[in-house]
Amino acid sequence: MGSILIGSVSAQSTRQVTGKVTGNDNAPVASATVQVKGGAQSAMTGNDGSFSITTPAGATVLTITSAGFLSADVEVPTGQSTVNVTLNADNKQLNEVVVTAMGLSKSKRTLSYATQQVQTNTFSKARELNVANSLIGRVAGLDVARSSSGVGGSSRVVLRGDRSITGNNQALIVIDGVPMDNSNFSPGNANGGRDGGDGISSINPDDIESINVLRGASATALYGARAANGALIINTKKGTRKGLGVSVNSSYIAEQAIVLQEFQDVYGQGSAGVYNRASEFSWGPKMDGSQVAMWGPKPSNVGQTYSFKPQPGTYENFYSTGNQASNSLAVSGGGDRMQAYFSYTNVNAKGIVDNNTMKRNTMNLRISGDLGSKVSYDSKVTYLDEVINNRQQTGEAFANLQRHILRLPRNISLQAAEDYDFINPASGQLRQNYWNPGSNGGQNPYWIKNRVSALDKRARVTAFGSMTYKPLEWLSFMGRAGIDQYNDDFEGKWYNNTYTIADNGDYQTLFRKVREINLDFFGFVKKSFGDFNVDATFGASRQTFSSLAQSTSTGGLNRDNLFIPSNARSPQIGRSLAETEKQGVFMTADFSFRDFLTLTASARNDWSSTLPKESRSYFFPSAGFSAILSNILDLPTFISFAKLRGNYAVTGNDARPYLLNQTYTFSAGGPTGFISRDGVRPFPDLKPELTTSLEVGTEVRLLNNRFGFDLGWYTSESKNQLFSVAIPPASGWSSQFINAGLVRNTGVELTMNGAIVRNSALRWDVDLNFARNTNLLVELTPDLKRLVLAGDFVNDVVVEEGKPLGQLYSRGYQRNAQGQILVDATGLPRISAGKTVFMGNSRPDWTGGINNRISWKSFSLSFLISARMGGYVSSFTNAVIYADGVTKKTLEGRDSYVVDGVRDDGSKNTTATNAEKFWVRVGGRNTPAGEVFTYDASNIRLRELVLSYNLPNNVIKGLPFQSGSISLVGRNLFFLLNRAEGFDPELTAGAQNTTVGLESFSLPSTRTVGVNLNLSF
Amino acid sequence: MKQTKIPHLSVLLLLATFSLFSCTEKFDELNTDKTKLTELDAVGVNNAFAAAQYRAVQASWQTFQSLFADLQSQYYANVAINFPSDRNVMVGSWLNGAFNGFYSSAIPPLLGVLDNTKPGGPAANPAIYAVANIWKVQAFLPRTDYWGPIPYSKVGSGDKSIEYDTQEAIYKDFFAILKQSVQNLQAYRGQTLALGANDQVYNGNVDKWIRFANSMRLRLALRVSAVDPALAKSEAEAAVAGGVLTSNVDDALLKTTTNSLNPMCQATAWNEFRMSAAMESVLKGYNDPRMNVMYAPAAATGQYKGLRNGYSQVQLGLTENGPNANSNVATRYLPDNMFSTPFLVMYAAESWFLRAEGALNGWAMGGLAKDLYESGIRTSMASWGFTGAAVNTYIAGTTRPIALTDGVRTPALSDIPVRFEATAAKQREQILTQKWIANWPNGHEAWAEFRRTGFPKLYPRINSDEPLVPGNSVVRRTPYTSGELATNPKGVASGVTKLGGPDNPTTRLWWNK
Repeated sequence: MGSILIGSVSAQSTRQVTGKVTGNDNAPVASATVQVKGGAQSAMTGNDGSFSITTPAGATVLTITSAGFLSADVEVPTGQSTVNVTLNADNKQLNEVVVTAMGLSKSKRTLSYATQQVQTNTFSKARELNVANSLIGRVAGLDVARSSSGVGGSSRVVLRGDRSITGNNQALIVIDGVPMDNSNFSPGNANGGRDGGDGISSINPDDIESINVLRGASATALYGARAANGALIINTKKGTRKGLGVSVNSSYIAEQAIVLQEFQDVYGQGSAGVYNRASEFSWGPKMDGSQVAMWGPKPSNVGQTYSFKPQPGTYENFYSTGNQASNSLAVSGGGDRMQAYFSYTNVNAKGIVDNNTMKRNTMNLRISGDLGSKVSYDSKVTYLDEVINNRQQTGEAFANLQRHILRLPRNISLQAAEDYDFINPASGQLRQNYWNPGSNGGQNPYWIKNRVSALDKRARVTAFGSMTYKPLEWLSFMGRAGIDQYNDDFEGKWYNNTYTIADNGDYQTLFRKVREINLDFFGFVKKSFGDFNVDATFGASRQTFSSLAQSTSTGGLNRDNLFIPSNARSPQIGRSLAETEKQGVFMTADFSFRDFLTLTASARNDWSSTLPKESRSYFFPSAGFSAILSNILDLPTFISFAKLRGNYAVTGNDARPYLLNQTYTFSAGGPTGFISRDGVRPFPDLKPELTTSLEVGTEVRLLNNRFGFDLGWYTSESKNQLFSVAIPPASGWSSQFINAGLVRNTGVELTMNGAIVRNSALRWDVDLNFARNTNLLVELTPDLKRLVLAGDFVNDVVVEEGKPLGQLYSRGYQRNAQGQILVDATGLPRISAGKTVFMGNSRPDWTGGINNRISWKSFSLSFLISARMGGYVSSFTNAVIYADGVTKKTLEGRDSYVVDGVRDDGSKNTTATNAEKFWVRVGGRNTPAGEVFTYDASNIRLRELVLSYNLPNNVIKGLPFQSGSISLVGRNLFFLLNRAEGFDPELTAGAQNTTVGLESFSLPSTRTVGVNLNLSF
Repeated sequence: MKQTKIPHLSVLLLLATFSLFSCTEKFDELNTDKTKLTELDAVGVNNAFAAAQYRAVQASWQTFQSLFADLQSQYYANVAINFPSDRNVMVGSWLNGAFNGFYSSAIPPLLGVLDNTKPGGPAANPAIYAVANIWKVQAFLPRTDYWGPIPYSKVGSGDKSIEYDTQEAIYKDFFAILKQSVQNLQAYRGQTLALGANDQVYNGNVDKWIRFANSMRLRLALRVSAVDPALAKSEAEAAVAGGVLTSNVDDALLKTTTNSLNPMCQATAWNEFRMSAAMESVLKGYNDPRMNVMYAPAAATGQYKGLRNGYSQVQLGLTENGPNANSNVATRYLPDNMFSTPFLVMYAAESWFLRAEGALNGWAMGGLAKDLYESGIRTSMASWGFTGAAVNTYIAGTTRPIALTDGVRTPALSDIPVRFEATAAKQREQILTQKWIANWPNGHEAWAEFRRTGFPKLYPRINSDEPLVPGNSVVRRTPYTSGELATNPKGVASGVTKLGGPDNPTTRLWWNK
């Protein structure tokens, strides 16, 4: 959103301005862009640096930009028609300011660690409901896994690989210097669940000014523990000193399912080739149009017949076109003493399941300014109000709609299935109409859609206020208080006759209040001593966190479908609490010698309430350097800039609360309640975790800064990790926390950018990023070499010494010494009994992206291709629906099929079986052979495309605004490569460490296409 | 606001901010979970007893009892299409849940009661200690009868590795516990324990606990009657002399509440099992009045119908083998009654049948086998509300189990009638067949006694997916669990050694040698 000055409009006609642009070495600058400030008109300089531009009435300022040079604003007073401009070499670019830990601004050239500024200008155009998804493919070393819960889902953001064996691996989110709580209280998992949403999804893309990614622990030593996984430093917009600006941004985006699964349309409901009106499978006879008994217990269906014929397209037609309409208004302005920015954004979204909707209102007020020359202040309040209907269940959950629509027998039409309920004439009760009444696992998809509902409401306030006192030119102090508080209110309804999960209905509520308060005090020292500069910060911080949740559930309803907590058969009330406090003191200092060399040192000591008294206090230092080689050495002239950097840092991490002492739980049950000792063995000797990291890197710019790259290498070691291990339950406890383990991550990160084409008509810039991380569990515990972190129906997620985290094990074919598949007497492959067969590792080998930005006259085009290569993903969906006989691949061998394998005696198998028996053997819900349903997760896709048109002056003239643009946007448009069969490997069962390698009844992937209008008044 | 004052205000603000950085004195209190208790006190022992009692029978009921013992004993047959345990597949994840569910949910509260009430314990109470010990036998018995050697004497030690005990040692400790506990309870005869209603079985009635303990002793005695006949005889005779359960008013039934429900009723909502062909053959053959209160007519046909155990996944997809074509359990076991139907622990009838079998063995059981057998039938009938002429007719019945009309032409289960036969071999089969009916739905006892005696003569399974145990063979035990192999490998190794055979479903338990 741009804004220009109101009040500068006068009644003059247009004029022609000509001139010449030169560098400070007096050489002409070709291909520089000359723009009317705040307007749409632009021109390009020729090879001799000359230009000519038509300026509208009242416009007196031209902005000249060129890669490798500082942009310049030149005043062309009324009446003047020529102007010559001298551009200074791009020290601005070199002196790019980034915001680092604690909201401190630093010159990027002096940083001793890797950061990446993210191009955020398309975020508010090609919108994502969760900003995390906009980051995919743009940041080297950033890996995002999306949960498949539809509108309102969460995303897992990991930088430089997983560090923690069982703990949080996600990057810290910092907004305007204040950390934001990014807890996900109910991440979906493989066995089903409903994603509870995360913190990052609450961020409004319209308010983002910049995002800076601090990848390593070193960058954030000052944040303490939570930043050990890197941080996303987000700055939001502020008011300006230059009068009033108003801007409007509107988007309409349509969302459509990308159907990757292929279904068969030959065989219908039944087993062994026999029609069965109650069957949940499509192993029946050929659908030949003959009349068969109508399914379902609805009285008007009983005894009826209907035509047994294929119903192609039921899966894709079940989903409708989703949409997202967002409108935002931003007003900014102010004078010398006070500046304000206010924005209001309204988002209305509807998913491809049409009752999955979201309404989100965000209001944001930022006021900053000064009180005299020595005191300044900054403050912000953001209020978010969000209502999400029917966030989709994920995974194996019986109320996961996707499960039921995928399993729909191939002869049942959507129209017929839509007749999903009826009133039982005998009892007067509302009942489900389904082909297999009372099924253990099956439901009519429309019943689940309409008779199981979820409503999530969130109200969130984030605010901060800071005051800075600068008594001396080289000394200042700042005090800052930040609060992030939100209330979640969940309401879930299950109608009676929702088979096996709520036969008597259910009503669940959850109220949660989360509050984080950060109080910081800083002192800043900035002083030069001749060639030496000192830039030091010291301070103290206190962070308090509390999360309180109260839940109710009914265990069945006494009166049918009356959704009130007191209408409970077996009322259950839960209350959970987590309260922590952390205090810290810290200092960091940069010592610079001329423009050459900067040495950085920092130190922090934290005191955490979750640790025992003896180890409550823990200290961690860091040290680094940066050297501007181009200022030290006499480099060839084509090298415009070269820098070397290096950093070593230690970060400590505390534990979650309440691990130190034995607790007993009182629960409802029996005549007066049950008491039981809790199964987590207390751990009074808890110690903080320690991560050490080392990184070196270089940043080089070439040919007048036209091309550049940043190459970094890092290694980090996380030891003393706190994690839970299962212990023999006969010991009296089921698990205990231990301090052990050593995880090493080593990797390279590369970002490149270049101006490929630059002439008077066309500009083409390319940004490229690439990252490869190698993760290794060096040591688990002295006596434990392998730990199963989680198990689902398909996989065990395992950590093993000497292997990377995230190893997947499942069942597979039993093979002989030659690797041939062993077949039993019935001609079916033998499957291993346990999950003993290695499937692969779930984490990618490398990630990368290429973003192209092309502008031609008033048009600009950007497109982003992202790649996530390597890693494996298993599909529980395929395991189930192949055994159901609904997919196209199950057509082969329906009548007879000989498995390519050998008998136990080594002779070739000749016993015929058939497709049904084969897929039932290898697939199904309970003991699928993951080997058959595990795929290479590599994928490359056209992630984003934005085509914008800046309204030219002759269009704007006479309209009440100063500038405007209209854009066509698209995201996730198509795959260039996808090795998974029938699904998008990026959509995981949940946003957890252990769900990355599993797809489990996910929503189909979606592409979005939309239009965006941006106006500035 | 005058500018000159502002710096002072600002400094004040900064100082105020800084003063909020207090010291860490409050950390201990902050790091205490206010939603939990920090200790188990004397009052809490009652609640812990209630938890131990309930969870010992409820823990992982589906994956422990329903998916194994109830199918192996052919009380039911599986109708859940993708469940393989009725085809002898010892599904590891289910057994793992069954094992861990018991040790992690039932054992901690039981240990809490024992540690607190033991002599010299903080809430020492010999009577509650005795009852908790009797319950310990009830809790561990079905577990050792699944796996054989299990963690027993070292339970609760907190050690990293928990050694398994031999089944012989466990059974012998059971006998010792029961004997000692009954002795300790003699002083409290006629009294009601302070547990009151927290004893969800007998409301703290000491006399009933004594009879229950003796009946348990009698049950164990019969179990070891092949492997150690002398021990069996002496334990059985001592138990009967001490007084066992005789009347259905003493039936050990655990009360359920709105927050401690009957797990069997809950599971029936899932439509995973239906009446077995074995039950249909016997109940229909004997015109047994209990059929109507145990099972319900099939939803689709209105007829009582059972199906064979071990159908393949494809066969289960056929209409005739579906849940609607076969008999579910009767109304009292449906989910609507899960908060009211009590959970069976032990029927008094069982003791009569145990005594009848003991009498056949030549033990002093206080009666003749025939009388004891008939008293068992009468007591069982009374538990279901049947008395008088109908019961007399039943006992005199000469009809035999029937052949079924089904797709696999199932023959009659056996040729024995209800009326007591003349030969000891037939009598033994009759006693065990009637005990099998009377013990319903206690699948644990039914499976254990079937393994021990081979009675009733259950049907071979239609299919087996476990090559080691074909359909016409018997699963002798359940294999050790993946969780134990991962967390307690040395313990499992000690168990395999003590098992005396490979860790698979064919190895016979100690008492089944």
